[in-house]
Amino acid sequence: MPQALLRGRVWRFGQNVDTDQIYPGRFLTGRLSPADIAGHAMEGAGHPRFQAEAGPGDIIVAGPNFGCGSSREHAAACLKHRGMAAVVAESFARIFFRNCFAIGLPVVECGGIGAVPEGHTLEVDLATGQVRDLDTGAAYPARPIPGFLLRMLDMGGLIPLLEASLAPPSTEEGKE
Amino acid sequence: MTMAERILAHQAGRDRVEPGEIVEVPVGLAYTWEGILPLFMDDLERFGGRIWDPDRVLINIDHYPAPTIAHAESTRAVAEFARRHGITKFFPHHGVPNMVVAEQGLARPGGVVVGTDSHACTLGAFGTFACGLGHTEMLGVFLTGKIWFKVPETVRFIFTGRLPAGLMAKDLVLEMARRIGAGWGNYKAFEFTGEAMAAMDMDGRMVFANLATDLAAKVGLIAPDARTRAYLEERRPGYDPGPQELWDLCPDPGAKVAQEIVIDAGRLQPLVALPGQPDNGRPIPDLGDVPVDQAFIGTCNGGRLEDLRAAAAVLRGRSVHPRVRLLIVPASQAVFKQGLDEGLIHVFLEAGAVVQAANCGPCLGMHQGVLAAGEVCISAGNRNYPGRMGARAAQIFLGSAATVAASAVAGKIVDPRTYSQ
Repeated sequence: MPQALLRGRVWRFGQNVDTDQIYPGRFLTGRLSPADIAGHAMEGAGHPRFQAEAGPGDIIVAGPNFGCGSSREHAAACLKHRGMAAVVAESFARIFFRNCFAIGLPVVECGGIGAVPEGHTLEVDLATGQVRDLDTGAAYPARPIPGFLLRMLDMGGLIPLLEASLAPPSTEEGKE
Repeated sequence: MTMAERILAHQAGRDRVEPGEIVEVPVGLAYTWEGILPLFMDDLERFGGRIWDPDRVLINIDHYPAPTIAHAESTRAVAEFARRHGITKFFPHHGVPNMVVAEQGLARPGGVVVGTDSHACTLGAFGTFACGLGHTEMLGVFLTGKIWFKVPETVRFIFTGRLPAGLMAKDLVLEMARRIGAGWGNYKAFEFTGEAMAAMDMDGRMVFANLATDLAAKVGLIAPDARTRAYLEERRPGYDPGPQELWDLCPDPGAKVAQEIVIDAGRLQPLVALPGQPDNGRPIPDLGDVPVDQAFIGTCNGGRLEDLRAAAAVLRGRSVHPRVRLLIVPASQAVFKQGLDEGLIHVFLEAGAVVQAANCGPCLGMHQGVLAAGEVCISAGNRNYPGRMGARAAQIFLGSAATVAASAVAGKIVDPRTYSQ
């Protein structure tokens, strides 16, 4: 369950990082464990150190249109299973954006965030939308997350939300 | 209201909606395929295994025949799932999923369709609010039959003039992509309008709606008209168009849009998108020498009948260049069969092309034409990201089917009009 206030080491990526870079298509087949999926995180992106060094609590920072391309949920899942605390990007491709909320990975749209250097510590307040580089003190304006998506994150994703809201199988469907 | 606003308002049972609002709407059709359904089947059973309406679910088998044992096992599990849940809309080896949905007449004007397919937006060519979802959200749809959307702002594209001879819808959409940039759409609804759009048949219109997602748009919508109805009636004898009010959910003439962009089709040159992103469009005359190793005609953006016909017009009486593999993968069995009936497949084989079963083909880098490091592919598809079709050090250019066919003959990327007949 994500905390409302996150702090983590920054890994930087550029613009238009597509889902084939985040999770290459050749790793889509077979029954994959969360550990398998985590191992392929950003494998197509050409970052020299991320795969070996990125760990739980880290934060990915990126330019516009992060997560463009395929609807594959593995792209969101691999970052979550790798322990990323959040992804903060100038903008997100929408299927990827929704997938992150659906599995409980916080994603925050934030103008100018591409300027934050790698290795800095970023603080992200999901409740207020405040994002700060703790090394420089610089604040970045983030788009607030709508309340119902914050609740989804609080529950840990869509499945826990459905478990809480759907009636047992013998009755009709409930409301989300 | 714009088209997106009208459809969502109607489906949400509201008089009007505004961009930025969250609405919940019923789903007209939910579709998935054998690579994705196994990822949420077990969760569905945990929830009691009841699908909200099996008649509104379509299951496609895309990658057929199975390239691996694991694939064969998931295909079998999916077929069993369809049987167990009484899902009659089950289509093994009919083609790429959004093509199957289109040909089955299941993209209803004014309706809502979601699929575990980023190119579900292709169905916007029918005036359908259609977009892709991940599998956890699809589980939610299977259970509840509803989905939430944030109402998108709309950008209206007005395509004036007529496409010059020898050019295709793909050239125009690559020019559009070049002008706006890959991330520009940022959740907006694209409306495609204008005389050049009205003059296009459904194959051409689907090329535009299809690329919406690759330009970061939520949906790509085209108002349904007589051509839309004719396409559906040709493929579904006795097609029931449903209530007229859904066909009328077109944009209000004075509707407020975020931006209007006019593009003159009449002054177009053939383009290719350089490797990396679909917005890297460059006119072919400005390209210089680009030898190719693989030429690929297929996918949900370049494998339809119009594409096969254009390719055959170039290839008739010619041969594929000795250094090139020309792969032709019809987007559906129906297209393949029509191609056979018209003698197009024969033209392809005579020219030395490899013709493969209708499916997504090599577009994803899994099979049927994976690229080695250093290879160059000219593709009629929509994705040229690094590593998309295999090695990260391979390069993928995007172009029309005519451009791909001409380049396969020349051994390098050329203006398709040099081989027009």
